[in-house]
Amino acid sequence: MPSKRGGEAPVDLNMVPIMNLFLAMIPFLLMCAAFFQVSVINASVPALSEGGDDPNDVPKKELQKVTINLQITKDGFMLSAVGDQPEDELQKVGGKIPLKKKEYDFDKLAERMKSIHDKYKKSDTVIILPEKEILYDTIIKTMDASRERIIDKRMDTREHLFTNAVVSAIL
Amino acid sequence: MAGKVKRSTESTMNLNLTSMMDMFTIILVFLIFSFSSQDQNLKLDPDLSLPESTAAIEFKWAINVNLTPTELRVEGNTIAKVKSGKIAGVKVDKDKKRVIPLFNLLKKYKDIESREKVNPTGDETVISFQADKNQPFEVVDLVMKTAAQAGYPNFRFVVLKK
Repeated sequence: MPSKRGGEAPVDLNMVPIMNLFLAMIPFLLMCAAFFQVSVINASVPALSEGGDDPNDVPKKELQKVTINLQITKDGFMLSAVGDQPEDELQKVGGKIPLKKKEYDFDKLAERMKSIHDKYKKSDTVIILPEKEILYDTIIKTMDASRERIIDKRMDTREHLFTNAVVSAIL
Repeated sequence: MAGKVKRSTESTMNLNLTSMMDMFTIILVFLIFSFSSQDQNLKLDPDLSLPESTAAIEFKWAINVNLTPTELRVEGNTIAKVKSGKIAGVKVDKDKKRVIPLFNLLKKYKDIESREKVNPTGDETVISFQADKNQPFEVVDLVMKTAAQAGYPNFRFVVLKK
């Protein structure tokens, strides 16, 4: 009577090619890996205009648009608005945002910029006027607060506010 | 009488590669996900700390101006030294707010550009500006105004994505 043989002996996989693949790919991918994500912020400095408009042209009043002057001082932020609206209306737009616990209150600045943008929907320009001692990092954070509002971080949904930033010095 | 058979006591030792394979697989998957290919390569200056920002615009070709805590560089070449947040060692026109060597160099670039039409994208050339986050605005303003006077009023501030 033939005897039943037992189960077959396990087959050892040859790992050498796959190890070779890993050892070739990993250094290549390591060299290409981006450990820092870099992005840019568009900004400009005030430039002199070359020619004036025709003096006979009457410019159309833009009541849905203001330009915000945002001063960064050592005591906080100072906002003022420039536009075609009446003076008393523009004065209501401006105001001070003092320091909060000796730090700049970027959250409050972002809220204020959002409320101004909600009222004057065509506004897109902010002129940032830092004092000379203000750090570059503070200026970047100020631009962030005035440029956009992140609605959903996971989906990267943003509401654009004052996307056009002009950097100038307080005279 | 049958003799006793001496069995061989040697046995080959198999190296257990499971854990090593596991480690390599995880590292490989991580590196594949973080692999990124960009059209333009930006060389981050190691002598400065960039500020962080929520900005999402990708980097594009531009003239690189770097303001580290100790030097002002254009396209990797040192133009001036920086000491305690002020430009030092070179002529600075305080009335016109101009760093003279920086102005001369950027003016030369502008002249070449307008003569040779070198900008590959056809758009106006901008300054890609990397500055240390702890630099005071005074020196940043001086560099920006100099560049604007040389014909480059538009900037891209390079920041680290938050």
